[in-house]
Amino acid sequence: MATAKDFSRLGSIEGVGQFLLVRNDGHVVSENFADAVSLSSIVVSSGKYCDSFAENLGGRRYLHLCVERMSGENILVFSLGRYYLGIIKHPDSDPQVLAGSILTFLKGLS
Amino acid sequence: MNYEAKLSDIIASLPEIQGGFLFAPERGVYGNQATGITNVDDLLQVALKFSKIFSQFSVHFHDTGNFRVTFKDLVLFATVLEQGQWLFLFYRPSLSPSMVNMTVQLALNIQSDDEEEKDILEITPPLAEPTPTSITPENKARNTGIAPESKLNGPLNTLKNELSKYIGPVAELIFEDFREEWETKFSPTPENLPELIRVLAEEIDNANDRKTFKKAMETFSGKE
Repeated sequence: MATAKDFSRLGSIEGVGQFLLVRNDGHVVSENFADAVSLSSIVVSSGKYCDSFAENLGGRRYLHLCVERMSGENILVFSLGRYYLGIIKHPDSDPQVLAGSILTFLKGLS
Repeated sequence: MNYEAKLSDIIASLPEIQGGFLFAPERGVYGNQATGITNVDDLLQVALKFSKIFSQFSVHFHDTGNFRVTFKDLVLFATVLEQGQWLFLFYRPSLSPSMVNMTVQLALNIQSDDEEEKDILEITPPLAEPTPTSITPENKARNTGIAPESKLNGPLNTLKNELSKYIGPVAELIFEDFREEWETKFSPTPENLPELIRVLAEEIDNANDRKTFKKAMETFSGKE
């Protein structure tokens, strides 16, 4: 079973700027930046909305949400059961490559 | 701007784009070219959920752009247009995001000979701003029409605190979202509090917790 310590390795993945792993009640389980708590609600809320897209799109479960930003520090949100993972991308990295790296990492934990 | 024509152009330009639709707050879903993907009611739900996601992110980040939700066999792309309208596309994951961005941007920037140059909204009139009961620097900053000295503030704070017991820290964000909508659609009066309580209760997943929450809030129904 994956632990918070496993997720701390996320920060070393190329392209990851900041990350936060949040429980579905908003409690931050793992992070690598000081202001993670301020984003916890958004990560959980948007993750829940994305989970609910399954009701509207033929049962499709989403892989990730990407919010593009002018700064290039796009935000990615992934659902992990009772937890939600938020990633703030490094401005120079490719968003598709990063999303693929994160999914590979997450598959490696299960 | 004729967004329906723009949408058709975008869908026609790339074979990987399977469909799309438009959404306007006062009009709902229109220009639907996603009938093969799901029905209009579900498209409306998708649009409303995206509006909520957008409003939450834009509070924190002032440079948000396009949104993308990736599924195994489909990507849902969403971009905000003028006056709170949205353009949605469904496309195959093999299509690169930058290609989609470029295609959409190009289509939205190109003006046809028939389009007027002055900035008018063709689809719907702008949403009317809610009239606050008392505009002060305090409640203006709080983005609420309720005066700080109003007797509603006590019950509203209790509502928020009670909600957080069941859904955690995310309660504050959800509460503010629904409160704003409530103030827009109804008069923020004690008589209309039950409507706010009703929609907030729906955010509680557990049926027993939802029942307990509603019962605890019964004291605020109709009272000042």
